[in-house]
Amino acid sequence: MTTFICGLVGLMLTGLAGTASAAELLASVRDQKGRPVSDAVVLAIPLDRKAFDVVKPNRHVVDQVNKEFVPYIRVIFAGTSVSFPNKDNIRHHVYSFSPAKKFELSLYSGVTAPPVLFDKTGVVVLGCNIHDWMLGYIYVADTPFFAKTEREGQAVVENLPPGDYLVRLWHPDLEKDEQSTIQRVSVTDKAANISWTVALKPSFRIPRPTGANNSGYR
Amino acid sequence: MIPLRTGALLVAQAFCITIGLVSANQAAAHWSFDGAASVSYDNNLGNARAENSVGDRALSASIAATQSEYREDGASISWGGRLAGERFAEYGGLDNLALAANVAYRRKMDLGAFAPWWRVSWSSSALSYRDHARNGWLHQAELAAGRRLDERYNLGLSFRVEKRTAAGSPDQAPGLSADAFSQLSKSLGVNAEYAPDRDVVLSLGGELRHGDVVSTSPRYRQVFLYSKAIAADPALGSDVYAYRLTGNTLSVKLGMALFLSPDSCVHIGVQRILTHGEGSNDYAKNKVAVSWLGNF
Repeated sequence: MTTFICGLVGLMLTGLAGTASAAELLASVRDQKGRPVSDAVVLAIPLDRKAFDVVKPNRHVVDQVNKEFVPYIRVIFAGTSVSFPNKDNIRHHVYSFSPAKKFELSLYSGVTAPPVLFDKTGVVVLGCNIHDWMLGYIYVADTPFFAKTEREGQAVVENLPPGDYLVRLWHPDLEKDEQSTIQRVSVTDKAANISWTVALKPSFRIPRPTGANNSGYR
Repeated sequence: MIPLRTGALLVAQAFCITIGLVSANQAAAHWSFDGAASVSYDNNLGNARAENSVGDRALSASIAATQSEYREDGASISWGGRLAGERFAEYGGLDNLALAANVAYRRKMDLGAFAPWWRVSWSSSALSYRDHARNGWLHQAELAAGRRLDERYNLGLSFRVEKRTAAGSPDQAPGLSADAFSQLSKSLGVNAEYAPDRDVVLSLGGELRHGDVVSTSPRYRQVFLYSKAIAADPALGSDVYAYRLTGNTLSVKLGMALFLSPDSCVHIGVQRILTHGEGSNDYAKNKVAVSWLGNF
């Protein structure tokens, strides 16, 4: 009986320890002028590759709303499928020329387009062949531990098993290669902090047609 | 003279036939609606020599409905109608309504935002002026092509043939037509856009036009000698005449669009127009317009 109770307590403690061991990484990103950077992708790559076993790829969605991709940037783990539901009342023609995933979803409405599997890491730039100003990104990550900064330039990478990580940053306007942002961080059961100050190129996207001439679609 | 009601019926008929012909796949078609309102000033309404020029400001508004059908090969067919009105502050004879039907076929040559495209389009408008001599039809056929060079620069070229038929006036001179407002012309245009910001688009356009021009002025020997038609033009004064002659016109237009929202913008346009008419009947005019443009 004593052995059973000890075993039970041991199991409970192990369970608690397991819960407590999932740590957070608090990231903060600012640009060269000290302004918060939103939509920056923070990626934590564990040096112990066993940590990958805890997360399985799942499905994600990139919507098309008012002739824009929503969200502008979607981060997924390699091996994840993404659906592209069209919530506009006009058909879209989604494509990508990116080496990480070349694909084309010819004209469709609603949810008729099949999900696309992203099994190669890298940046996938999305466009619409009808509405040239539509631009979106899918970052196919080589780690399941990632987050994206909000308006205040902050992000929280959750559920990190304790250990050592190489943490890097990506943003579409990043002036230097993302490899230049790598920092090594040790994560224990407490929250760890990391911050970057990065140089960004001036951001620019194709404007919508003005309607002042008839050369474009509206 | 073609009254607006008759014109409207004809345009509506053409519109229905067009829709019937091209909308084989209704499920794939998409309606869009455009609205515009503008205030403008033209310093030489009658295209007269400098000493006879008169200017006026105008308010105008238009609504347009366009149905577009896109195809997987990058082509699209669009067709629609447009109703526009213009009201002048002083020269009320120029107040007008226009009801137009149009159809266009556009083809993108490849996939992506930077693929070149071309478009062929046709538009017919019934024109109704307070000054009935200007009533009539305006037919335009255009071949256009363009390419976005990068995120900031956009380039377009166009060639347009324009035929305008007018109701005309009683003969003013023996042996000379009074059909002064009917015109035929060909134009070659180029337009470049530069976006310094995603919410601002600057444009610079140029156009060379050859064909009929109408110049209104008091009786003037030099213009009379080269005129193909003459008609009284009460819309611009009690003792002035509209002379139709052949000329070459160069126009340069500067524009700036400021986006208020993803679907609406304010556009400011300034245009300089120089015409060299036969017999050195030359004139110049400037136009400026501030417009609101919206898409629904």
